Amino acid sequence: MKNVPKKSTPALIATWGAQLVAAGILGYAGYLKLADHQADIELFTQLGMEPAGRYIIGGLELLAATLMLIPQSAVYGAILGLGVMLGAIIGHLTALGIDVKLLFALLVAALCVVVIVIRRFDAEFLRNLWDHYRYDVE
Amino acid sequence: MSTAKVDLHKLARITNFMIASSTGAFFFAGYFLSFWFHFGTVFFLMLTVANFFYRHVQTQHTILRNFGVIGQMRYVLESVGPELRQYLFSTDTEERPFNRVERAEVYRKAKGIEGAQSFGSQYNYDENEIKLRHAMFPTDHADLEPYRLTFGEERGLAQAYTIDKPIVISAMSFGSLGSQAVRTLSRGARLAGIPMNTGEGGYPKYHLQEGADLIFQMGTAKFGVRNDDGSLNDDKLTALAAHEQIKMVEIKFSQGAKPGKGGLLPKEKITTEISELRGVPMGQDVVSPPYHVECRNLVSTVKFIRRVQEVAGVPVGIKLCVGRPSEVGELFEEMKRQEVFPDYISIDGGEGGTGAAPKAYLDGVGMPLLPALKSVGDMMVEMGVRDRMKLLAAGKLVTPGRQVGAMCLGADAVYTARGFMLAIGCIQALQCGNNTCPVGITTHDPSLQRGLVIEDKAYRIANYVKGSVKDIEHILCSMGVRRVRELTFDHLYVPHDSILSVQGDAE
Ligand SMILES: Cc1cc2nc3c(=O)[nH]c(=O)nc-3n(C[C@H](O)[C@H](O)[C@H](O)COP(=O)(O)O)c2cc1C
Repeated sequence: MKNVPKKSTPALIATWGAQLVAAGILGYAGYLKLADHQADIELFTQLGMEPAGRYIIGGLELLAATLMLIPQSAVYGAILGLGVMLGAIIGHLTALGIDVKLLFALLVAALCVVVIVIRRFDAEFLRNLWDHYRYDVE
Repeated sequence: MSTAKVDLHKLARITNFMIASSTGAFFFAGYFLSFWFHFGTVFFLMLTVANFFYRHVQTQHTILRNFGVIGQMRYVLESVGPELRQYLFSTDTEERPFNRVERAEVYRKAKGIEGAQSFGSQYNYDENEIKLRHAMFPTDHADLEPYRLTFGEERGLAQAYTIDKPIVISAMSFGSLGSQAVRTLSRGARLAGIPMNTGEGGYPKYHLQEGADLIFQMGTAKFGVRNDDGSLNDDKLTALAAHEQIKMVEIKFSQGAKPGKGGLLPKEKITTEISELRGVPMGQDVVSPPYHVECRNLVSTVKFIRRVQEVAGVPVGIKLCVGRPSEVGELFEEMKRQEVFPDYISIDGGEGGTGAAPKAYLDGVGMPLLPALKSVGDMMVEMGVRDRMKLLAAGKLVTPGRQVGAMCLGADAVYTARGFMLAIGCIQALQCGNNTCPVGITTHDPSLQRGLVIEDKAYRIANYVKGSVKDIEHILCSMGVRRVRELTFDHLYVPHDSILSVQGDAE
């Protein structure tokens, strides 16, 4: 894309750190869901979405994790990851109760926000969310 | 007439309200009915947040501030607009600077396809366009005099240079063009048997490579032949002009795309190669002044022309875009006084092209070619200097109609730059300044240059020249003349309100 400002080294380290941790957690959670992990089956039964919901969410988590590991698509992975995590947070607050999984969801959501903020120039509709150009006087 | 008009602002308000309230609605549905609804909750929640940012956080986009996410549609449409218009919506005569009819004509010639078209002209024929007048009794093709134009004959120059086709490749520097394009053009020029102007890019390494006859251009920074202060280094010019392929030297005073404007070569762009070819040091910006340091008034300007003629030995021309015809008249006056005339003068129209120029200059500065050329051509005759130098012209002279039109105004031959770019595959993507030229012409990126195959495209130049010359010859016959120089202003049909009927310059 044209006119994408260079990310500073600290920003690059931060986003990649966030991407790796988030992708790790999302990937593992997605894998457990698709592998018919007992706790997940119970959880989705509680939500009334067993088994289709579990497969869909698991699939989305894996997809988000994959996208987040590729530089060009990391920002889209983060948006998807944030969406799934928001769903998880809603689930815990309204149906499942507060436990350690909620903490993980909050953590991953926060990491996704970090990635989105640092990588906001990677997608046109995102960069317009903030003031983004400087007025260069030549 | 009253029609139901979409009130965008109202629509946006409704949309924004709907987005926010949908979040709530889906949340309740998710809570009371089925968790599935929370897919909607999340979607609309994120949209609501984005909308909030568009409307209240960012301050740079009025439309997004006023309309929110549906305003974003505008930016999507705007970003694909040029492509959509070019491929879907533009009519054949609408695009600028060259419309599809003009481009298609060049492409056809370049590919060697005959240019017959059926049923009628694509142009709005009754508009105030200038047309050529044919004669009741056309000339036999066999009676046409072969075209010959000898530069330097007025001075009896030993190294006079003769061209036998009325079309020349206009200045395009290595730098604005990539090396691949320069080599393609120069090989094409050799195949076509026409000379090529090197542009002001310094030592013409790639131009020389393919064996074409060259006109070495000396810009105001005198790249390739300069002293460190930007003045002319006689020895370097002598050495360069002694090169067998360099047939003429051109002093550029101004060009139509940015007349009266200098330039700056930023140090980041000065690679080892550029530094070598242009004769400038690395690591610092180089300024192209808007004028030659040697030329600050009429007397010094004409003296400088004389000096270049003496140093170079080959014919020497000048190139300028006309601002005020009276200034050119004064220049002629001074030439007469000093008995010094350049071997040709080339008039660049304000509509000229370039790799990169400030938009204000592209659009707004400099006289358009046709009136400028007419003023200069008429003045040359009136002042009795018409037979002291040749007259060339440039400015969208890419199709035979306009080329012959320029000849009626006095041009002995035509220059074109963009015509030849089109011939080697330019699609008018308008990215010459970005190093992202999709057809590999104005880019230095090897992965884009690979698409430009010299072997193939060089022949397009030869074809384009051949086709154009053929059309010009046919038109000359139809107009009942036997050579270019017989053409006069009376051979033009000039409608009442055309650019030529009112002499734009009320000085
Ligand atoms: C890519 C490009 C580079 C050019 N570089 C030069 C240059 O170095 N010196 C110059 O005098 N004119 C330069 N020109 C202007 C052309 O030589 C010519 O005067 C102008 O484009 C008008 O001709 P056209 O309408 O046939 O293109 C350049 C034009 C283009 C398109």
